[in-house]
Amino acid sequence: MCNDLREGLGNAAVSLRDMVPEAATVIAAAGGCRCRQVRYLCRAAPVAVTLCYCRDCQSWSGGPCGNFAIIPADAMTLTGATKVFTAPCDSGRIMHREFCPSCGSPLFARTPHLLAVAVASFDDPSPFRPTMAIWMDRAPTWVLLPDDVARYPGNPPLSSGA
Amino acid sequence: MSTLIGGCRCGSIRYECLAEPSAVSFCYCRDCQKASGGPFCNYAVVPAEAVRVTQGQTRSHTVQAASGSAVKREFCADCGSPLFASNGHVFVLAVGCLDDARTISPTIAIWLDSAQPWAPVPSNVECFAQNPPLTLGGD
Repeated sequence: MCNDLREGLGNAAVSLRDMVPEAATVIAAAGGCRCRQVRYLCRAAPVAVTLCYCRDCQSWSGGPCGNFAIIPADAMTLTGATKVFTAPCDSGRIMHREFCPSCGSPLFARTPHLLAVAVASFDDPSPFRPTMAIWMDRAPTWVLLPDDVARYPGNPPLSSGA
Repeated sequence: MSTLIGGCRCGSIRYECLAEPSAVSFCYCRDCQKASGGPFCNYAVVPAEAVRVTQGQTRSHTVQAASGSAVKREFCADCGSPLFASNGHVFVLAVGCLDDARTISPTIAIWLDSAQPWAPVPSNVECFAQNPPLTLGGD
């Protein structure tokens, strides 16, 4: 795990692994965009898999929530060029969102401390079961959630320490 | 009749839709997963002629969907927001890009055959293993 991420996560990362050990089972996973112009290899287990209902993630996904695997930034190898869009997200923090300029597939969201990978961009998303739902106070009234995830009205301890 | 208004995250593209959705779908096909970055796309099915882009221009990417039909997906080239998709029969808006998406609740869940094993599925909606009959799609 990179130092930035370790500092940002603090004890939260440890407690998340304790809470949801299945989040740590994927060791290496390849992925990329729909048109295959951008490909990546992720060589670390995610520390969390989020469903984020903030407005910024809604316009990013086109639906009620973004869906991300949080991984150490230095565990990602990328080929191909992404387009980066930078703007404050609901927390006010600056977020860099990366997508494929050719097919539009959402790929990554970055802060200085976190790298979040769009779960569906993995070639096989099936191991990336969500572990937490965040920014629930921005969720639509008909909110859709798995039963077994931790829920937070805004940011979780994971990122509030970042 | 209310007007649906929406646009992309960066504000480059704005649109309005002068018709109520005939259905609001959650589509779990693999192509919709790639397009949203998550377990499904969330679309409002509307008549194409009811939609007017009032500002900006989309970029499009056309793919062969799981159904075999060509699906044109339109997004903002500046911020990446997914906005529209169409296949010649059905035109849809990405619900998350509406200015007020909170009350546009889903009515159908489709392509559940290809859903991720952990994907949440809305309750009280009609469910289909693959495509619904086109009549449900507002054609």
